[in-house]
Amino acid sequence: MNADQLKIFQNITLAYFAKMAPDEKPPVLEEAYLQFDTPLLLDFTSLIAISGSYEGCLYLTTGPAVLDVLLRRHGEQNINDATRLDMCRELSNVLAGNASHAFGADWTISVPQSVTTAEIPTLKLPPSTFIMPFVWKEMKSYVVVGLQSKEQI
Amino acid sequence: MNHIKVFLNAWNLQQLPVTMRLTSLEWRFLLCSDGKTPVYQIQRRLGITDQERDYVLNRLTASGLLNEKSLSLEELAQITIDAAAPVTEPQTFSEYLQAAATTVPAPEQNQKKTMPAFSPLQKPSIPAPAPTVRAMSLQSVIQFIFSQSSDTTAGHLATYKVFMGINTQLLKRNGITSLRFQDDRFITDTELQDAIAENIKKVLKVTCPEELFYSQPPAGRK
Repeated sequence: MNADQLKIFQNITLAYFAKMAPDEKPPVLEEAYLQFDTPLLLDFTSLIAISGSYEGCLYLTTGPAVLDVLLRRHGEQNINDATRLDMCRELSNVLAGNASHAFGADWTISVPQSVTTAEIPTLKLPPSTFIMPFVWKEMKSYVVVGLQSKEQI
Repeated sequence: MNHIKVFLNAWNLQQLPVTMRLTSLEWRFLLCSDGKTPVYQIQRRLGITDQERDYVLNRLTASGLLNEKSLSLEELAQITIDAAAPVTEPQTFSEYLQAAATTVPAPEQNQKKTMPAFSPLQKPSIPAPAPTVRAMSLQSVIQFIFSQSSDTTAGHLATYKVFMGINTQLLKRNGITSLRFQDDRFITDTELQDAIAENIKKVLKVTCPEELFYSQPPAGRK
């Protein structure tokens, strides 16, 4: 993974949200940071595993309010946890497509997953993560890269 | 009336001809003539007779080495009163010294009693140098990684790759659970310093420069 690939991934992921609400302020990427503690996970997480020179995952974690906005934009009338999870799966597919586009040449992208808070304990995530917060419609979500070298696994 | 006079050394002693010769008594009288001490006090101090006093005084004034100092009436009265006051039995200087020697133990005798046997002094031991803490500046590390990167995103990613290779328990042991790129702190744990240096070498293919280290953390910085 290099900086150019990461920038492409960031841009096309944020572009998805901008396209969902073209008449509103586009999402704004905030200062990234590293976390070495418990992985940052909100209520809904869309995740893909990646494998290449490192092993790890890419995920987008967000709260229900963001999913509600996206569901409405998709014309969904019935908003509940089930449809939110559907939206989370949809985002996982978006991420997988974006990752294939950005990192496809060097990385193997796994089948996308959607994870709720109940499933968090079953996740095995790398202990060090690179967190890219972004704000959309005044709500914060996080795109997270978690990698580790193969000898660390 | 010589005894109530006051004389002042007429010469700066350093200006006197080096060849000038005086008796021991004349030198002592000359040195005591400070323009304040009346003759009778100098006479007592030196323990000389009136004849000796007058003889020396005449010689010193005649040769121009002493000048009589003029006095105010008050000064004259004070000197006269003091001179008339009863004093202890007149003593010569040598008598005075002998008397003093019997009442105050001579310093040499004193030292002989208390001075310990000679023994060489212990060579002072060279104090061990104060331990200096070799601290690594986290912000300097981040700036160094950024300086090796093409742009901010590349710097972020390179920093992540460097820290990704470090055991998170080691980071947490040093209070690092997250890292913002503007963060600074001083790392004194050599194990963590080594781990950072090792990962910089692995990721950036360069040796961790000495500039990232400080001999002591600057005051006021954590």
